[in-house]
Amino acid sequence: MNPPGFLTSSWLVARKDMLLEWRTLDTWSSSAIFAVVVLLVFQFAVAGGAAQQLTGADLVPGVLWLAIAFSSVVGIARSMDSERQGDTLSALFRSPVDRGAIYAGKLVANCIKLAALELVLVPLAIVFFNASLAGFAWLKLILVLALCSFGLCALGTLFGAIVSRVGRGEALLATLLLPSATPLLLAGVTATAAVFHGDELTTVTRWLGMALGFDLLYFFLALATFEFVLEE
Amino acid sequence: MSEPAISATALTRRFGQIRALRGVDLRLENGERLALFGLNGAGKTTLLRVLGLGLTPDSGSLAIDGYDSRREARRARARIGWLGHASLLYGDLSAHQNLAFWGRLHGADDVEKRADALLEELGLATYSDEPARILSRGLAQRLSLARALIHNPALLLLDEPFTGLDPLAADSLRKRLVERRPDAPSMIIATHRIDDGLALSDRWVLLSRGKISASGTSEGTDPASVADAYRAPRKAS
Repeated sequence: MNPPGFLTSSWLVARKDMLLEWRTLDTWSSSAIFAVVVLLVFQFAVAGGAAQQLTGADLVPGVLWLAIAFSSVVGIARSMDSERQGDTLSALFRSPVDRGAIYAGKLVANCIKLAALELVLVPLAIVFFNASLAGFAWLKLILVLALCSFGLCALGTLFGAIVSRVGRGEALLATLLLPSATPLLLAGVTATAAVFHGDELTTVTRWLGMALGFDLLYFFLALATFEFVLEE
Repeated sequence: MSEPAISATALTRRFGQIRALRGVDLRLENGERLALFGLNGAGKTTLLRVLGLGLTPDSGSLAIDGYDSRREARRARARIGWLGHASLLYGDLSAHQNLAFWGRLHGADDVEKRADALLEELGLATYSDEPARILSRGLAQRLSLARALIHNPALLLLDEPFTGLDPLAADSLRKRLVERRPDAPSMIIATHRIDDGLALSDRWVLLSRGKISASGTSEGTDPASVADAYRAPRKAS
């Protein structure tokens, strides 16, 4: 009997989280409902004449990232709920695997769930705000979303575990996550605006570089500290 | 000669100003069973968490089945099974999926077959594909026992395993735990139920203010004498 290695353990944790999600669609549905409500509220505000001079390309980036940020809080808090109910986070901690692998597995699952949400959210935002994207702009948008969402999930997974350990809910997670993720959200909004206005990504290289820097910082910081978060 | 299931020397653990463990020495031989008694706050759960490698001691040494808890932590953890008040199960996974997940995470061999065998043995075969959340407290506790045994541990730690069980469910769990099998793991059971603890163990120890204050063999011990040791822990033999 040999304990599994880092990659196998991460895969087992990620697969378990996806299986849990697939059985209930609990995290995805609650995040999606929240995000769609955000889009609808903004769409009604704009249709009411608050921002008649603004185009879809002006509105979509801010609204989209606002919806992504808040729905990721809902999603990550929900996914940690499943660990809290049976005290399974403690059991994961006591299992013979690298604690970093537990973090990596949960991060992969959170990234996949957020990507699935964005898959619905982006087309909806485009339709609601009458924006358009042509050709390679889609690929650029996918790159921007991936770059900024990864850091959001990296930090969210760490904070989600902290919040779960101290027995608090979404309010504390939002308080911790949103201010810390602000650089990523700003980079996301700026780069997404460039994509929707038809600009090259080279015009926002600094923002993308900053997002990549924060992705790496948050990921390695979380990987190094997750063990202490799980300590009973 | 095989390694002892537990070899612990001078374990200490503090929580702020509170000294939860104050130099606990404990040796548990392979296949041996120990009942851990003590008043609330005596340090039973802290000791179990330290022995279960969920909590790092401030000082002292600990080896599980011959593996040092610091240098070979992962191998040591792979040798431990845990059953407590919390189910440690995912409510939305089926009984079988729960066992398969925890078995693989512990590096168990032949997980699918072993999961099926445990479900059958513990009378849970009909619930194999049902989500764990639909199980009654008694059935869930049996599934938690299967979870604790899925990787064939050398040491089973039980923290108040009868809490919340009705008399029938408690009896069913007691019957399973009392069975002596050649491949049965060593066991520590922390409980307030002195008669259960004595019936399920070879030896007992009483923990008082973070130290072992009394001990004895379980066979032939009158539960009342253990209860007396609670009242005068330092005078008991």
